[in-house]
Amino acid sequence: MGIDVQTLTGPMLDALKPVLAKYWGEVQDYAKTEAVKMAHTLANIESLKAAGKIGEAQAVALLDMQKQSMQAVLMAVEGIGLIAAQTAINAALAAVKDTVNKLLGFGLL
Amino acid sequence: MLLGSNHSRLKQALTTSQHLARRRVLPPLPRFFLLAGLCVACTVTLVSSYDETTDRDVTALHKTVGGLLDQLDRNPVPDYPSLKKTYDGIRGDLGATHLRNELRPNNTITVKQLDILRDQLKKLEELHQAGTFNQAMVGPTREILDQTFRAVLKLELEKKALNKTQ
Repeated sequence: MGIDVQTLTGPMLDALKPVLAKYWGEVQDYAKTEAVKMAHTLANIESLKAAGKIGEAQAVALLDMQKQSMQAVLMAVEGIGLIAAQTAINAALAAVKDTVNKLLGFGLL
Repeated sequence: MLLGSNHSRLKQALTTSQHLARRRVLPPLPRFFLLAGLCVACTVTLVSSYDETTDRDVTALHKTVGGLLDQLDRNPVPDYPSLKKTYDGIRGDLGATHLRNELRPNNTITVKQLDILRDQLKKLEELHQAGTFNQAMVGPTREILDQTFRAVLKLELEKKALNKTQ
């Protein structure tokens, strides 16, 4: 007897959706919060430069460091994406584990 | 990503699915799910597990860097030699954390974040040593470094939450 793919697809999709929705919500909140903070810092640097409290070289140094922080934030987003993928894949496999093992007659999953 | 012992299973599954696709028995999307079902005997790991030592050490380092910035927050800023020991300590602590994370599998992203933190702290030290760091720069510098620390800890705490569910 072959594995009915439709039997597997439904439960796997049902397992994937809430996991991906949860992580998308988290990533969105985090990215938004950090974007606001970044905007605040950039405005701060600009106003210090305009007020003559820092020179051009100092402003450039701060901007370079800010760019690096942006990278670190995006790396965190990437990492959360991988965690989401890992969780989703494992949830999908767990959803069909019993069905697959029963059809095959041994514990593949 | 996949356990090595499942490589032959994956190969067999791929061959079977290609055969089925050619015979138009199995369209692409269900083929994906068939492969996913046959691919892994247990679980998939894409990201390193949570590390309590890293969490603790990065948090402690943030506190030390915050203390350094507090000392710099005066006019004029203290001269570099008076704070060199603090910079040396920060460099040493971060170096140890970086090394530890290099050794953990599937941990490239955290290592790259720590590279960024190391570069930023090096830049701060260079500016101070060159005499071009002033009190006005403390505020934005603190915001920038806090953001990097948050990014490192955010990812580590997500790994912690993952460990709890699996």
